[in-house]
Amino acid sequence: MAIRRFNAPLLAYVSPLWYIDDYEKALKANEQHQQPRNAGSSAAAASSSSSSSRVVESRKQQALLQSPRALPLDWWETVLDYSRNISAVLGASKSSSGASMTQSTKSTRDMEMPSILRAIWDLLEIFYVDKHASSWLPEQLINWLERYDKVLAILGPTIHCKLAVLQPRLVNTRFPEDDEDYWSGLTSALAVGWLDVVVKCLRMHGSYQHDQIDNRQTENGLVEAVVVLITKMPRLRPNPKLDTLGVTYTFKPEFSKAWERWRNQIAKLNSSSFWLECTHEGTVNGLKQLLSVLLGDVNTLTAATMHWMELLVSHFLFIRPFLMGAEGLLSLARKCVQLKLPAEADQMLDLLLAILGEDTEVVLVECRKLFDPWMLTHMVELLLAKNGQAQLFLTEEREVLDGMSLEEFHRLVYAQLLSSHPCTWQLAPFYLASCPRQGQGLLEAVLLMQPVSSHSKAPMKVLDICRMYELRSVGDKYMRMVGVYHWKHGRKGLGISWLQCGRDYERLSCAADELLAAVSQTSAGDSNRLQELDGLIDLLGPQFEGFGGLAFLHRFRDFKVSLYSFQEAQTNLAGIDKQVVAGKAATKHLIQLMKDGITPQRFLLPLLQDSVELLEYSGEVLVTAAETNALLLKLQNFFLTNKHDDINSTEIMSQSVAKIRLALACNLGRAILKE
Amino acid sequence: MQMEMTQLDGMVVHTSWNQSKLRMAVALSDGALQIWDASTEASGTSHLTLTGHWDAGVGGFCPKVTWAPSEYGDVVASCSVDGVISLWEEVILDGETEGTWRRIASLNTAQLSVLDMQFSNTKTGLLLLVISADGHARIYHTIDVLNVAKWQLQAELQNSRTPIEINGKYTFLGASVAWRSSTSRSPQPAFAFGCNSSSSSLNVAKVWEFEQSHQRWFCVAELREADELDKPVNHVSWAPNIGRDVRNPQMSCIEHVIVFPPVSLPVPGSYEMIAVASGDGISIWQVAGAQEKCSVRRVARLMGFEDEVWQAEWDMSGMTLASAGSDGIVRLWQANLKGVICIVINFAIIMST
Repeated sequence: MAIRRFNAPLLAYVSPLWYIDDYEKALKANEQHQQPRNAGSSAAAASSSSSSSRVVESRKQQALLQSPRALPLDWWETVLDYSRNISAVLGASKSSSGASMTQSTKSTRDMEMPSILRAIWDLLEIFYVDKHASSWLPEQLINWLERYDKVLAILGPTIHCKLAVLQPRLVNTRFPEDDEDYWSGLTSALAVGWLDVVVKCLRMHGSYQHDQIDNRQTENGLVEAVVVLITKMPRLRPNPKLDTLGVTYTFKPEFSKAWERWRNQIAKLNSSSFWLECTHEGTVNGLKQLLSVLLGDVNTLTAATMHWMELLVSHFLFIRPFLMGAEGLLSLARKCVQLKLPAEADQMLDLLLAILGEDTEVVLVECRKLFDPWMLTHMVELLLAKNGQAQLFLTEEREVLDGMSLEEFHRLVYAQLLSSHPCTWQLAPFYLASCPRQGQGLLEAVLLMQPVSSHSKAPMKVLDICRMYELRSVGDKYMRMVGVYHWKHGRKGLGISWLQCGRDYERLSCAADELLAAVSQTSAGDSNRLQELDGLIDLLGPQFEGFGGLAFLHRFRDFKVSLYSFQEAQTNLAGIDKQVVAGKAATKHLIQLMKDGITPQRFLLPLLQDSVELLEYSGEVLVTAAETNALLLKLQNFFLTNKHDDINSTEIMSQSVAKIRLALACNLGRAILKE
Repeated sequence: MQMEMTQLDGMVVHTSWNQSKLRMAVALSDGALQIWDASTEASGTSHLTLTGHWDAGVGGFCPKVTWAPSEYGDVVASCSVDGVISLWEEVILDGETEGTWRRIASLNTAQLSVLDMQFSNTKTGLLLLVISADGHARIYHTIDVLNVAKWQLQAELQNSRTPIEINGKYTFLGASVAWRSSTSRSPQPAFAFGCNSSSSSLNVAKVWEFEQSHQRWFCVAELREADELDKPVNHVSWAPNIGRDVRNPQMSCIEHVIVFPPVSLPVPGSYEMIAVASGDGISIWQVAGAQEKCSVRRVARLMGFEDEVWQAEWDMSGMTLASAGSDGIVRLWQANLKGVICIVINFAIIMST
């Protein structure tokens, strides 16, 4: 039998809990790439995100203690730390432009599946958390695309895919300039600002090779001129980037001047006469294409890019280089989408546009469609960092959710997911503790679901959690379950201890009853068994003073032990004195048991049957006349009260009673004579 | 939790998971019972291992098996077609290392086949509700807390009310019971009970509640709308309540064919949810209040099944409903943020021989 899943949510994108949804697939991916991604590491990832959440939650509580009405203005910095910690948990992202060129497209797709989460996470951070980033949004988006263009490849063709296909061909080609794809790849890479890739590839141009028959000096000069222009491209950035090409300017006026100067140089080169001297048509056309990109030609940029985000970034780089904030960003993005409509439905389109437009409601709806509850639970903190409208939307109580807010609802769903696995259930209480409406109910249910078996570590963890969250009644109930389990599975002492911890006096009373029965059935000679029962009785402990059976149990045990000594003395033919001393001790315990009225009815007959041995002892009269009378009275009362039970047992009982009565009568006669 | 697919040998009649969902009891057609235990590997996957197999001694197939709450140890109840219910307990006897399943009690019901049975843990002791082929619900009670060996019949209830229904000769093909979950805030035990019988008037799910003052069980609500009259009840499931309540009741939107007129709950407060799988759909009911103040309303009728719906089960939070039917598809249902209940995932069961 097999199970086929269909009509599933649009994308089964993975999270730190991906193994729960798609473990088999992930295992296969691991086998291919030898990556140590297993359930343990995923659980560790879930654990790391949980610790980051704890930190931000505790800071929030502290901040609210200081000013209960609102969080401090610099709260976004705390969330930024949190966001970066979570982002790190989601896996390292390498720059797509250079390093990942060596990876094949297929492996890129498989390996970077979790990165789709990180890509969206980082984009949310840019738009919702980082206040500094809001002044440099285009630059942030350029950097974002550089990191995550390979991730967008999951949704359709991107420049990264194109370069990944081109790269192995370039290695084996001596004169790449003859290949149209070479120039097409370079144009695309330049359009999204991957200057280092473009420069590296241009340096592979055949004109750089020394052992050539043709004179290609002019051609080489043109290539080198373009390389220099690309290397000197002015960029308006908050900070200079050491590992990338281009000249960084932090002030707009300076950048403006440099940009004009640079553009003039390009225009000058574009209209120079050297192009006429270059005989290689491919090189001329290719370089001209590159210059068109640098000059911001819309048609060239549109043709060179593949994904709408790439086109958007190319606009920032070459058409609107002075744009710094978010003004016009969304409308520009929509235009790019229209120009680059994907062949198939782009499942991320609405989400990306919603993030660019900071439309919280749509962001949440789309994330709910695309990602699992991990994302929804953890991203709420980002959405709340600086956006007042999001605060209202996420924290208002909703009747349709039984009074829960969206924030609580997502936490509850995620906690339920965590609690379904033995590696992660312990993370659930933290999330549930912050769910005011239904968190406690689910936490109690989760705790009471934990296994109680001896090979499980769950019991101690459950108790810790109950102590931490002051769930005393749940703890008691759970300890009761553990106690019964051990009691039934041959660990009676452990069972008693757990039942005592759980204050389950009803079950302890039943346990004591069972021990009584066991003692009464144990022969006096089985000292090991008696010792074991003795230990268990001791374990029931002094706190059971109010419980009548315990006092009886101790005396019953004393009687059994002394009776055994008496039997031993007789068997070993010890001296009469010793036999008498042992017999009198046993008689003393027997009389005590009879006197105080603590002996349960069902123990009376076995006790009196045991007493026959003492009564019939020939060496000396061990039971006095008064004591014998007391025993006779007990026997008579017992016989009368149990007369109406079922016929069979009454018959057996009658025989026993007759035997005891005879022994008592004989002893009474001997005792009277002696006295 | 991801669990490896396990192939069970023999003709399986019924299965039941214990409270921690790590042990499964299986009733086989030859009258044997099996216990399968889940264990988790370091890699995170779980698999089932057969740890117990014994002949339940019922002289035929065992139609139902169910677990008692964990506070009573590892106890399962099995039944025979002639109405004998056996309670089995796992113990480790002195000197042994492996657990043994031993019979601790036998209940002779009405010498009729048992259609369904469920345990419920209450403040006054453990209850076992048994539905027999005469359509009667019998409630057995024990006050033992450590050894549930002695039971007594507490009540015998009929799902019929009119003299015609009571005296009529009807055949009961199936029945289903569901106790109010222990997480509910209500102190009194209650259960929902529905039948699949030859009389359409008896094919209605009803809610029964115990009233402390009279020490009696009362039928407090009927869960049936006009469009369900001829539909036999195949399964009822009472949703766990982890804090569900409503302050300003509003009508939920309904998807899949049926829309009801807006009805408000009379008293805002805690309410329960019951799913009734009847015919080719599932009805979701809200139940609020207790005894004579009990009010019910159907909030959704989930349709779209190709044929009979066999079973509907809630998850531990009462937010997701799983359904299974004769079309071989397991569907998971959830309410979206507008209150519309819709399918979130479908699983098709492909049988291979």
